[in-house]
Amino acid sequence: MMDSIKEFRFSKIRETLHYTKLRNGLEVFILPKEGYSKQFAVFATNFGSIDTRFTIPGEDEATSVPDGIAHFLEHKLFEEEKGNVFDKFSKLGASANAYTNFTNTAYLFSSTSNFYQSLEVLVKFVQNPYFTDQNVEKEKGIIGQEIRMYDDNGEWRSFFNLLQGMYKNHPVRIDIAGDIESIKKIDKETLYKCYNNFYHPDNMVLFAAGDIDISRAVQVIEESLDSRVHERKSGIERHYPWEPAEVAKERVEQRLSVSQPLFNIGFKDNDVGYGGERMFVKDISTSILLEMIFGKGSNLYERMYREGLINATFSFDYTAEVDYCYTILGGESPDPDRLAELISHEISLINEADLTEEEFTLARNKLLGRYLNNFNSLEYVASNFVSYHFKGVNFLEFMDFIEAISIDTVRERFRAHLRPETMVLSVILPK
Amino acid sequence: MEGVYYQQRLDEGVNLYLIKEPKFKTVWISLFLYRQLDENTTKNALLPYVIKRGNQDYQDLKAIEKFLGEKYGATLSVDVVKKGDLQLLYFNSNVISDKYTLNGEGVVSAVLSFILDLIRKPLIGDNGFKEEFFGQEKQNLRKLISARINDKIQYSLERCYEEMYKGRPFSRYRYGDIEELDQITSRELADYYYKLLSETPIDIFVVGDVDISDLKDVLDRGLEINRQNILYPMQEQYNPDRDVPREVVEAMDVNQGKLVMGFKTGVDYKSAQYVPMLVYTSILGGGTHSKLFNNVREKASLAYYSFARMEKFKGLMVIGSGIETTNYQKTVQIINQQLEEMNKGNISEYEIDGAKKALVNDILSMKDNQAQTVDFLLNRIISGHGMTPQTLIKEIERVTVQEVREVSGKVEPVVTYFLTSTKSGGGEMNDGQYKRISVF
Repeated sequence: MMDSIKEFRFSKIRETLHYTKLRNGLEVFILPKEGYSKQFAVFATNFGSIDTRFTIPGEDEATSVPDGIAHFLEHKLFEEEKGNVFDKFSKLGASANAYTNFTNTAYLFSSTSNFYQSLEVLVKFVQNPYFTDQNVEKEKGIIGQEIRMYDDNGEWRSFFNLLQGMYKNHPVRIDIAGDIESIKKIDKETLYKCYNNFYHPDNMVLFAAGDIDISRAVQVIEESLDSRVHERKSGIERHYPWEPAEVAKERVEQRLSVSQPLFNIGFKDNDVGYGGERMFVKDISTSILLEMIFGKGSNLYERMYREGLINATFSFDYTAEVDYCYTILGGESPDPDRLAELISHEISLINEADLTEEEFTLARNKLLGRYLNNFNSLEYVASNFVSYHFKGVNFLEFMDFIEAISIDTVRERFRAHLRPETMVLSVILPK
Repeated sequence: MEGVYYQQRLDEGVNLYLIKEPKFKTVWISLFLYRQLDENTTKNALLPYVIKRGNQDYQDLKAIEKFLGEKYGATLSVDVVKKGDLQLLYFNSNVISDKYTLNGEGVVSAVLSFILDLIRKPLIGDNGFKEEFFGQEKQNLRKLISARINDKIQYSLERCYEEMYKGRPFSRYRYGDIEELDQITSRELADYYYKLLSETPIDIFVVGDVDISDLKDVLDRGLEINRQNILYPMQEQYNPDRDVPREVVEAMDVNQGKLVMGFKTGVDYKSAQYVPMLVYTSILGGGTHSKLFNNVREKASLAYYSFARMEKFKGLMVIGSGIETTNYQKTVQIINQQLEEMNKGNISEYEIDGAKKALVNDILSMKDNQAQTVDFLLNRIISGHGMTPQTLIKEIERVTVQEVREVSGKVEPVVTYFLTSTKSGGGEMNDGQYKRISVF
């Protein structure tokens, strides 16, 4: 029995999105991409590394789980009673993978043949956990080496150290994979508890893209879903600790075997607590603002580059989540402290009138170009779509939002967000 | 060339390849200048960065960025690329297709023209390149060269190759070295650039929703460079010494050890056994179907990653894995067991089938990615092999276990390289410099 499939056209980007909601609450989105050899599907849950304290529907007491459990679960879901799910994908010629970030866990594959069979494998294996004491123990060695690998990665360390500087309590300050100690505490019971709570279809989304037959894909998904699972009456309650406006530490430092200092500079954004359209406007207008202030065409960029304080590795980005938002700048610098001082000083000198219409238009068009580029890659568009979906935003509506944003919104964001007292510096120094 | 929608010779040794793909929303423009790894390697590495800073029309970063911003944030990136013994100077831009501009204006042709102007209208005066650009980019390159140690996985792979090809061009780092860099003057670099521009083969690739008529004005002008005595670079024929398998251990203050095993196979792009070798490498360590993934990672829990990869220009193979330093011997032993299994032809139907399908999937997927499409064509041009994606797929599907077994006989160990920790290895740190503790 096929639920009705709705069609949404986005004429400015020449894309059409197909949508349906299945009976057990799962939302399915399909983006046809004509001319692509590849098909891509991602099945994701709104469960990430920050979700370590929650109340299970029907229970009174909150449950706390070890750090790194969402990522651990991601690894373990590939295991089935009769071996490894990778084998099934390999036999079909599809390439499977998964990732965990702060807010979601996603299982995905790309194929150039056998798409519908691979889709069936994807939907079924994600619904079929198989955790044993033995296979949980075995994974600790593998994840342990994954953690060790990142311990040697200067950029990665700098980023997480920065988050520890910005946040006093919020679990975004903790590494996605947890640490060697926290993963030791993970056992199969805790994994099942997380799985049962967060891997319910009403907390998940399925997105597929490629040159595919939409009704056939929806049919495969529907038939592969566990018919015993029904829509839940109550939702998941997540508990995040209270986070003060001020930063935890203004400066964080670590030494690693690197050739020259690496840095991240962050601005903690305290305008949080909402998703949806309002968050999307904040997200886009802040990105335009950053492009105007730190972009390659800006006075500040030119000054930093000419003084040798930054090089081609310099980058910046704004992250908007419901419960936490921040701006991050990063790169290599011979003198991160001098750089941070310069940025802080220069920002304090900027007046709203310095943010001109002309710069605004240039920055906006740059963002537009970057947005369009997303649609070249099925992977990019899929991962963006999923992460925005869980925040109550349709990623394909970007064009309508960006055209509605005025310079006033951007100036307002400047006033509210780029404040020296919310700035944190993280440095990795050579040993 | 098959798969190319349009090809035009712009000048002596200058070709443009247009791959029309309406599915892409941007147009990808790549320009390569082909050089050889030699005493000018550091100069070649420095040039793209200095050239990127400004030309006669756009004399500084701000002017360039204003131009690119007006073209919807067309990107501009430069780099040098190493392909076997070749070193390529690389200029790239990714710009939205004319179909998506807000007012229907054209942007692609202007960006192509800009890329060409960047290389043909350099900002060079009596003293060479503008001193400010030259000085800063020299400083940046110096840091880039020393930053080689930062990415431990990449670093250990390159160190293994370096040990295998000691003293040969292939051992050179693609960004050159600091000794050479220190000696370069701006005047000398400018003179070298003029020579390079006249004699170096150049290829331009354009991939996206674009017609040749959109670019006609730019192409009709030609390159407007004085071209003579075109110098086509070559891969050096050299066999790394394989009589004594050597072990190189290097210590750094790291948390995880990086094991890299380097092999000589003599099988490159043009070898008759190229395709069986592709399948061999994939069975051994080309994904989740492979022996290394399943034995080093899944069974022994020794590593998060463990792969095998071909170097297709020089006829080499490398195996890489990140492990606890104390597990070095154990891991080498398990890897050697897998090589032995390959040798004996102990390859399951699942393994060979998974390997072939993974290779085919990669080849077909390549067409959906502009950068990979260019890279495939580039590798064909450089190596001179004639295989299209379709012929390659057919060949892969025909490979038998017997052929894989035969090709395993060509895999000979040359260097085992291990990046270990100073904490566990007994070596001492020397002012942030690594120290080699044993070389056998």
